[in-house]
Amino acid sequence: MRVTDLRTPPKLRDALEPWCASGVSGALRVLDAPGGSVYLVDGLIEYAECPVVSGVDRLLTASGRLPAESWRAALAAGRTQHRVGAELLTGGLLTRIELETVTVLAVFDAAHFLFDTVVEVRFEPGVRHPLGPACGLELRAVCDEVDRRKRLLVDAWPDASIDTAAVVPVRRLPNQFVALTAVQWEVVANADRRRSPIDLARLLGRDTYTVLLEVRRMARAGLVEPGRPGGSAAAESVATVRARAAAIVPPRRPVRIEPEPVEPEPIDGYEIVTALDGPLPRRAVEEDRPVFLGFETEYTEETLLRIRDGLAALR
Amino acid sequence: MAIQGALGVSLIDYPSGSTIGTAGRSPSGEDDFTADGAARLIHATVDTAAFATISRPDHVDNIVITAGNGYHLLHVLSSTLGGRLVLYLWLDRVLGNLAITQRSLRSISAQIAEHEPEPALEREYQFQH
Repeated sequence: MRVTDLRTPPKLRDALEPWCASGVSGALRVLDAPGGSVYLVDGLIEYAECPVVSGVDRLLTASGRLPAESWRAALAAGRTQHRVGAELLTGGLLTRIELETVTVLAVFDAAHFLFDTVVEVRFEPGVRHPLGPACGLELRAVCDEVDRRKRLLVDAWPDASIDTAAVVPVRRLPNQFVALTAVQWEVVANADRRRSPIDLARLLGRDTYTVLLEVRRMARAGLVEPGRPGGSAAAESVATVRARAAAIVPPRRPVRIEPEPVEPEPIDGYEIVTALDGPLPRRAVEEDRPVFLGFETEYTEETLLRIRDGLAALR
Repeated sequence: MAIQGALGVSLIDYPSGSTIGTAGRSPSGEDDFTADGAARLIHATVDTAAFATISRPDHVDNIVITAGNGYHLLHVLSSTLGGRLVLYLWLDRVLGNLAITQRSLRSISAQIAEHEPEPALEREYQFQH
């Protein structure tokens, strides 16, 4: 394994900051997994998308709010002039508040999966999303919301691997009866022991965060259990990105590598790296990708050589 | 604000606890805490079998809390996006009138649920310039 770059590349939220501060318009494309784009208009976030979450299209059509044909018609009519949203409003298909709500939810949802990832980005000036103006959010507000949501998720159920594992409702209730919210009902009714919360959100046209939160709440209440890691591409993509992020978190304590590292137990197809003071597990990286180790400059050459040797021993 | 004694209002997406829009002041000084609190209240009410009538699908219209710092009205917009939006209004106890405000909230939520008027007139107007 060759260490090509020791600088920590910025998280997406930090990469966005100069573009937002300078009030530009355009799209910031995320080139690495999970992929996606953040669209800016005069420095405000107008839309954000990420393939693992439901966009405005799915939130409106898969949820049954709009027939798919109506969405396609609005898309065909307004795509080139970036006024798909306006087409929906003038056609009387959607109220302004509904359009704004689903857009804001889609932005928060995409930001939840994108903002804290360390990814390569490319800015394309002047590019706009076909939806057109529906909301304009400040970067600070979106960051605060992402942090708030992450906090609430951890409060509900601390183990993030439940997000990408199949939702398995328990066979018997822990007590006589149970009251479910509408989202919880949809999740339980559509859980087929293979779909992960991320897949269920896309299937149901719900925003992913709400489904993640409700599944974690139900897990805490003893109503569902995390099953096997989800087999879908979206769930795998999120699991891989998270494993990678966990592997490049700057260590708080000096890294110590045992001479004979113990092989970590593989968890059905993907790996979770939580503590860095034990042996470093292998991580799934593609060949010829720069590997970013988030080390500060105070690490000596000797430490880095030991880490390299340790990593080589693990291969 | 057309409602007398209204101190602040916000539109909250209660399943996610996110603030969609806000105007005026917020009792906690921070919109996030207000949205969180509102979302938790709705959840608590919906989850409580005695209020939400278990085994029979039902809905909650609104929740009113009378507190030292005013009335807190949580109005569920049941006809918009499957009832996920909540209009939260903070009302001054001395200046505000609870009954009148509840009526106003009902008409406001009806307005919110209405579709945009056809913009044909607007277009004609623009052509004249």
